[in-house]
Amino acid sequence: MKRNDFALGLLNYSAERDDSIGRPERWGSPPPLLISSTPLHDEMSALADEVWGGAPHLVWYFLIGGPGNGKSEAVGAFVRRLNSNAKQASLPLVFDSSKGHDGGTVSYWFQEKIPHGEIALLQDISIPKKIGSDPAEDVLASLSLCAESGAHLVACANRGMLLRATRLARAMPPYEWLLPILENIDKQSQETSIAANAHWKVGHDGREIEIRVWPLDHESILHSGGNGNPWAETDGSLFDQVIATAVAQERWEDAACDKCLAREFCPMIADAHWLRDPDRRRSFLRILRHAEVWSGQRIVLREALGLVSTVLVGTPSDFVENGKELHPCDWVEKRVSGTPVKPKNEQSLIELVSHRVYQDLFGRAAPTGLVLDRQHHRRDEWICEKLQTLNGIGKTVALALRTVDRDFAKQAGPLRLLGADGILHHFDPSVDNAWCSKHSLSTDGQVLDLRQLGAEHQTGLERELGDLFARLEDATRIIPPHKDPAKVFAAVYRWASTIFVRLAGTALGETPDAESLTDYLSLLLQPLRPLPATSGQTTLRDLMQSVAGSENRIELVPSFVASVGSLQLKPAGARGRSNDPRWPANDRLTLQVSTSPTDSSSVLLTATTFIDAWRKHIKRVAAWNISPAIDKLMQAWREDFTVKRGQFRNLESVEFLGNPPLEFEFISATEVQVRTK
Amino acid sequence: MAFNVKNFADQVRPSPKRPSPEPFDNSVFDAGSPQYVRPEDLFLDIQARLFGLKPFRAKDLAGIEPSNFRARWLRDGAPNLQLQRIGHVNNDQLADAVMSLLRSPQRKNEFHPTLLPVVPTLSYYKNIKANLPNFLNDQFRPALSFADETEFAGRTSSLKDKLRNGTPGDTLKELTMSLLRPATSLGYSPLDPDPLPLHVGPLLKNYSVAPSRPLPVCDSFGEAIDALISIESLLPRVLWTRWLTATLRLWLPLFFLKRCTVTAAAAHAAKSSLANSSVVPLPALTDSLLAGRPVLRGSNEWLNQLAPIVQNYVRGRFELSILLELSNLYQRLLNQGLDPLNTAHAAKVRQELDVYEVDSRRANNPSLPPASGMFSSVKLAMPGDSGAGRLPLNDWLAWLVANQSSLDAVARILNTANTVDLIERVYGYIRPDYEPLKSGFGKNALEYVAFALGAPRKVDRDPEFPDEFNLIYRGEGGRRARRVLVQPGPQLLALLVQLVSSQSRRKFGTSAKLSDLLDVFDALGIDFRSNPEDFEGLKLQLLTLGLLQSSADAAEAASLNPRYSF
Repeated sequence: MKRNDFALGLLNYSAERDDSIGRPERWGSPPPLLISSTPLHDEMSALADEVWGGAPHLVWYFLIGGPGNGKSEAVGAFVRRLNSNAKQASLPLVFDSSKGHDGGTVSYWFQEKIPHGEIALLQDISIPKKIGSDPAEDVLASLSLCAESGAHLVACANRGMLLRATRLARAMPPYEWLLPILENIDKQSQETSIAANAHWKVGHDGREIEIRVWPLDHESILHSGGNGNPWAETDGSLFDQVIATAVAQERWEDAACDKCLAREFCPMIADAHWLRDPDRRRSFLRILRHAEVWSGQRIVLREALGLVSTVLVGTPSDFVENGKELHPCDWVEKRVSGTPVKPKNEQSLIELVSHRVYQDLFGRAAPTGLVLDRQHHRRDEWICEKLQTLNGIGKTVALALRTVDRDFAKQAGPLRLLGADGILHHFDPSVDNAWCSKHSLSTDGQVLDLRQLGAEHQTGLERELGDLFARLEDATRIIPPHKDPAKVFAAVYRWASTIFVRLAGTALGETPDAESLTDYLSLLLQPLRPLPATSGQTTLRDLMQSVAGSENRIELVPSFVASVGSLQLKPAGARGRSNDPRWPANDRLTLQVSTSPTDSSSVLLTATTFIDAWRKHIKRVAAWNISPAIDKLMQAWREDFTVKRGQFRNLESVEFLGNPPLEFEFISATEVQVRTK
Repeated sequence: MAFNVKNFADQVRPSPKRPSPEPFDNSVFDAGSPQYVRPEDLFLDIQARLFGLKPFRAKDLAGIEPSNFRARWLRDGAPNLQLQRIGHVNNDQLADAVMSLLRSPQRKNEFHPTLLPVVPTLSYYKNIKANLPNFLNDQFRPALSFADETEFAGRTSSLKDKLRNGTPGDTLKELTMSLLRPATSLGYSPLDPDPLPLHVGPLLKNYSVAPSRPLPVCDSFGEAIDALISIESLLPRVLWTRWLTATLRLWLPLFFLKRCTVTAAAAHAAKSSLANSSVVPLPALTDSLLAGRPVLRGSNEWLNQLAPIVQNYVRGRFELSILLELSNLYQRLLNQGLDPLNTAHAAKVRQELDVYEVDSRRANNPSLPPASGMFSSVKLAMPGDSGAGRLPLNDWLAWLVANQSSLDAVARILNTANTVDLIERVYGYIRPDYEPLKSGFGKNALEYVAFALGAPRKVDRDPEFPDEFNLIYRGEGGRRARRVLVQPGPQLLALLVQLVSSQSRRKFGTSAKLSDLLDVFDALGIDFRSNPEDFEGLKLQLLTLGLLQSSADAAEAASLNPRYSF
């Protein structure tokens, strides 16, 4: 069999390897999955042209974001464009990755001449310039040096170090002039800031410096940037581009897989086919987008690359046998045999299925589809026990299940997403199959019926697994009644339905809470749009009004209420991408609350609050299903507003709701009237 | 019979006559013996003592039980009421409204009175028991004094001003004052305007550096109080008092726990010095006492975290007491010109010690002798604290090492091998009564921290302070109650984020980051940094609550989103 080295190369994007870590060494030849067509890369190219052509003033560009957001890759795009301009002008390349100054494994500082002045790169302000030095002080010194030498600057900064530098600047008089700059960078990189304020000019020592800020953690890498709803659609997003590049035919069939005898049962080529299909890719990205919005934390580029690597191939730990890491193709080859080729045995089949896309997303912690480990209290151990009663095939399968579960590298891959408590765990389609009825899928029935779930998305592996389930079912039919065949049937169907429901859900992009999250994403674009509810339609405004309770009264303390006037709600959608100046979008849905046109205040509405509000007020789930903490959180926007506006002050009247009800009216600061109501 | 180890143990046990040796009593190593009261009572008690309001007994109220608010109000409050009544509104009808302000309707009135602590004078209505622990002097005042003696007066004066006057215009406060103005017949007088005096006694600080440095927990307590003072005018009064109460409820028990660890470390240092016959240098000794080790670990697992801290404190407290008593006994022998090493003095030494024999047939057994010599009129103090009336720990340890052979001789007279053996054996008699924490001050101390940081049972839950303000969560009872989850509740997180943001804005003019919040947890002695799972758990909680703006991997650099942006 011929090996596909691209599959091996993909493993370098996993958390254990470093292809997803941007470094100056990569400026010339970035690894294949790093995409260059993003608004930030366009911005960096435009900046390179601007400084090359001679900007009227100094430009200091700050790329703000945490690790893995793509800051270093953006610097790479800038350098490549600058070097390309130099090449076109028949001049030597501007930047050479080997000519950096200070720092450790990654150089701290680059400063080179360009036709009109100088340009400096501060690769990562978090690393100390020299061993033992304070990175915050290094930043201040570097900025001062940059100002003295009159150089343009591109700096990569995370918020924490920026904050430390700001606090240090406050305490060190020589750097006081940097204080307003650093404070404004922090302010203008907050999620509430707008594109128009992202560029501003400052003067220092007779020089004019334009400060520009690009926050990398505002816009999702699943944001499509298209004309529909870019927050909900994922076509053309950065993540979509990464996947399209990774599953391109030339990297798989044309490279080696076309001639491989094992391709029918290879999970890697099957996953590449899966994600090459536009509908299935869309569903895949939809699930990730939902998980991202629900968790409130953006997926960063580094995680995305790790996830693509894990889904298409696996993690390096998956291919270690007897202390030696195998080529993924060799690993597959060891599990198939015969003519035509088939999985060697039941264990091989289960191992191969454990690397399918739907298992990678939702089953890293339970690779067989059954939860057998101690950490989860061996929830599905009873299934293995029942299969064992079948003897023969049953015993073999039970042993294979236990062996695979024991040997699988569960703590590998991007754990925040795929780990046992990862955010995708909540979205496993097999956990809640309520979505199946929408697609006329039945999850009840025998193996023959279950095999029909997602039949069009199945490969030889799933068909082979379906045959195994059928053999188990047949074996169950002939066991004597005292061995409790009903329980054994239940075990077989439970396992089979987990696998096939998960497969179908992944293919269709259907998960728990998918509908509510789709609604939430649609509100980011159109916050006033009507939402389909059980009884007709509703709007976000109406929903949140019902969360706040009827009337416009607020409870000061138990039994004492006061009128706070008519609360007006106006939902405001997310900030869109800006083209002039280029600036990223955000994911922020807010409610503007007011009692008068001049008296408004914005409060954030997170996806989890929206989902819980929907469950309580539209779906009307039982009260005990909503925790008191969540209940309070739902109303938090109302409290936010009343506190922000000081609504507990100078109220004209307060009502007592006891028996008899009383009304207290404030005539003056010292005069109060009381009357019965 | 003769004075022996068992007698020694009986004498060392705390008694009303002699709770602990004089140099230890109210020293920095005496963390006090607090007992749990409900959060609102903790606050009201501190507030009442801050303004010099005295608790009432039935005899003070001419026979009315202090908890009978209705009768008290009808007799003392209603005649004093300054309200314009429109139509027929009688005092009984008003009483219902007043009772709603005084109590939560969800509780049985007489057993669970609650009170809106929005104005200090309301404490007149509160039945604060006279025998409650003195939280103001034992917890609140030391915590703020240890933070910064020079700013103490200004800080407490600002706090008193905010408590007494606050910012005008809060409707609920105005209404409450209109309804619940105390009667002059109760002896109402203007609230005590005198400044709160500084804590008397040695300060728990790091004296190995100059100027001396406070404990992080005290430092952050001072900053939290400052932040609350600064935002008082921006918040509804009822929310502000709730936040202030929650702050006291969090910081004071953690301050107590930190003191427990310091006492346990001091006892360990004393035993180590005797075992090695040498005293470690001052900075190292201070480090070992104040080591920045966390007290609790933020965790999603049920762990036995609280009880061992209190158990170690109980042990440390007794071990220091035993050593101090032994030192004082030796000092007394010296005063009498007796040398325990001198065999010629053996009989006289024995005779002198036998005075303290505990004989159950005797009505009045004499207590161990009062402090004398170098132990007279001094309090055990932090290493390097050489102020007046202080006995720095390092000096005492040096004295112990210098006189170790004589102390060992006294220990041998008491039928033990040496001083360290004496400590172990004497504590062996005391341990079964105190270390299980089922009785005595150990039980009270454990309940204080466990309940104040997270009320465990349904009956302890308080509608004004729901579980959302908890730091820990416990099982319902039995052995499970010893195991706790250390995960701040949502309201507590919202409060801490608000305080951290306010401090960051005030001190640095910048927004706050997750690292700032983790710094506060570090100062409180709660570790969320060491274990990635604990850290992720906290982050997830903050994200779910919308209190954090983050992308993956942003780690501690993620920005905090405070609930209210004033």
